[in-house]
Amino acid sequence: MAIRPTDIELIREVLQDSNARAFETLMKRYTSQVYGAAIRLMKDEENAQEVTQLAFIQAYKQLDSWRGENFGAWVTIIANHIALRLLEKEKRRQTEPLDENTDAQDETYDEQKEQRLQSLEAAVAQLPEADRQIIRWHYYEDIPLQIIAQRVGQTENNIKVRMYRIRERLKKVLTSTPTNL
Amino acid sequence: MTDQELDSLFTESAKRQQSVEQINASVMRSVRRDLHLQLVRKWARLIGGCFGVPLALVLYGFALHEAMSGTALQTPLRVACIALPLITIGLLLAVRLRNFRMEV
Repeated sequence: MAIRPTDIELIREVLQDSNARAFETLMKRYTSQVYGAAIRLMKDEENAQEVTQLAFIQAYKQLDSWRGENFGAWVTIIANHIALRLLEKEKRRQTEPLDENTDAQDETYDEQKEQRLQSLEAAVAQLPEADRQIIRWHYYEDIPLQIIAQRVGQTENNIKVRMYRIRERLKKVLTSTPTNL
Repeated sequence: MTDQELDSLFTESAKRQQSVEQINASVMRSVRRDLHLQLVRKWARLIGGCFGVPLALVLYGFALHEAMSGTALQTPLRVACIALPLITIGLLLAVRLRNFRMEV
């Protein structure tokens, strides 16, 4: 089994060897977390994407000033600063009353949905690797169960049963997770 | 939680995943561009150091030699030949001083 490099090892590789792949691996670990934080502040998917991108680019440029704390938390703080700056700028630029704008943004953002999404991601991450792979193929890559059965060398019925069990497990976890944190 | 709710959550999550992948791709494009620029700058500095500095020194030497001993040159040109290296050295010194930081 391949050993998962730690954040510090990856950052060292980026700084010493200018290894772009190491940064990519590091970023993939935290994009969801940073994006989640950004969308909470921006309440808009497009702006949240922009904030997340800017945060990671800034983190890359300032990587030598990283002091060894949790990398995800560090980038999230950068994202929060960028988001607040953008919101401030937007507020200054707005000519219409702020309340109208807030209402418009709220239509695209649902705090409860956001929390459930994050709970689902966390629940999927807790699954055993083989089950996680089946979920990834079926729901995220849209691969039919028949093809998945061929890939894992099982019958389609077996995969259906397995999928049912995984779903039941996820439902149980999601039902027990409080959504209004 | 019902099956429909779980399905719709998965649909949302897949959409989110696409956004996350777009972000990753965009950041990596920027990072690779930056690394590429760094590499170009590094080579440019190396080539400049290896060939540019000796070439500049030869040219300055030649200019000074011509200014001191050349009889074919007119006075303004002679002054320019002497001033050019001095101005360049002065400018380089000014840049160095401006960027100087006392390391603690």
